[in-house]
Amino acid sequence: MEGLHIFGLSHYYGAHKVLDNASLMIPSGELVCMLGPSGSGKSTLLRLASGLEKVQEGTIVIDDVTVGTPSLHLHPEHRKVGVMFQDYTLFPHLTIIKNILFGLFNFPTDKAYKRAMNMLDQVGMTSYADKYPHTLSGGQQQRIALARALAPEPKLLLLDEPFSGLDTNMRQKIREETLNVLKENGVATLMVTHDPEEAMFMADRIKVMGESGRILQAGRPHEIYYHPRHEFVAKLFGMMNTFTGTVSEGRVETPLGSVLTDINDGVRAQVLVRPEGVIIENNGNDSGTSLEITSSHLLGHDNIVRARLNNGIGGELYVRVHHAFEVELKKNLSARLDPEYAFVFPLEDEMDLENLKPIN
Amino acid sequence: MVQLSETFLMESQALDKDHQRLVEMVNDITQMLDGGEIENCKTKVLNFVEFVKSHFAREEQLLNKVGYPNVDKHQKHHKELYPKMNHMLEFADMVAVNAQARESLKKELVFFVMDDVITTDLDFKKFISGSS
Repeated sequence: MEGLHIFGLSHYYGAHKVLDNASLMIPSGELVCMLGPSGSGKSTLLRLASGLEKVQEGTIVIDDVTVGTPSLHLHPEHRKVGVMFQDYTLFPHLTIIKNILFGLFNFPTDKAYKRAMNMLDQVGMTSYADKYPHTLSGGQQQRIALARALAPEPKLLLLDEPFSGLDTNMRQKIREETLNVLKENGVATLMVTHDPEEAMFMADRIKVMGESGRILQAGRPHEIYYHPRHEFVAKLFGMMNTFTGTVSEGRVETPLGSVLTDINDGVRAQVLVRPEGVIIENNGNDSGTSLEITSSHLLGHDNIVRARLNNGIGGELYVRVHHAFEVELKKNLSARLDPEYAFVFPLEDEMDLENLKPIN
Repeated sequence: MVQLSETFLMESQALDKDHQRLVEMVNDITQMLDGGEIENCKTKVLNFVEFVKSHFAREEQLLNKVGYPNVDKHQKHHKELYPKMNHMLEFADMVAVNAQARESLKKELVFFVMDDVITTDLDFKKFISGSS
């Protein structure tokens, strides 16, 4: 099958296991994102796929050619892999066109030049062919690095935190451009990032890695965000409101309302609610719990509001509300939850996270 | 089109036969969607889901029979794939009126069969071949 197929990959640095039985498959033309915190093994996975590290356990196959097993190691230059690192690693002493030509040593000279110019054209940088990298902005360097990685027509493209060096405005633009170029080239792409928003924007499929090198969940961005199967996955997307309770008649009660669950009755559980899952209502009614706003921060489109529940127990809430919400103009507020943004996990999972087995 | 190339083989006749059938079903649905024949899509996706369920049952039975130690975990994994199948059926309902649903259904089918089902099954390939 065209693309990347990895299965049963485990890796150790000394006695420390950094990857635990990782498996994944990327057909050509698709982009899979490994999302996880620092130390989750995602960069190790990328280094193994590229051939910069030797496989200790497991198998790596690119376009039906086995390139890595414990007894076989195909060197990076023979894997038909393009790699783009987060600092772009452009050669400072070479012009842009020579940077791109560098990887085309197997091409006849005229064909190589044509291919390099074609790649510059794809990323909108033909007029910079004779410039040097230090004269370009971060965004322009990123485009050149992408053109250089794709020029040799790799079967697999590996992206290591490719947008982390860019400022917020530029990042959005470059992400979109990069995605267009990747889809146009139809290459299988494996991207690693710790930025959930980046993963959601770029990926056809996200694989979430836990802290001990295990893949905890795989799915479409929508599935990962709205149907997290582990507390770790749910919390990866930012701050959460946490409540605890005991399951009774298939529900867990919280101060903001009850949440349905298929966890057995009698089990202690925690309910995680995203800030956008708390709905604040003006002139509080009977269905919600009364609350008091303690701070409000406008982030542009949204407000992040901190609130205290007036339910006798206390407890602080983080709530994401529309930008038009002005705390000064509100009174008698109450809150309830939107079950779509509420997730229930047994409390045992929290303690037993280390012993979770990979999902796939 | 996806293919069940060598690295996806379990070296178990029964499982490989099932996996091959799943791949054929995915290719059939993809081809149909690419050709603009969307009338039978829902039926074909329903048949696919039914076959997946029967495959899971056969596989769990086999794993129990050979004494695979992680059969419970694999069973749990199968259970966790049910919502994905429900989602595919929802996409199938929309393919006639929504091009995005067609694309998402095709992608989801490929990842489901090749990654969620077959690549995960490779975890017990050694155990199965050892026990046979």
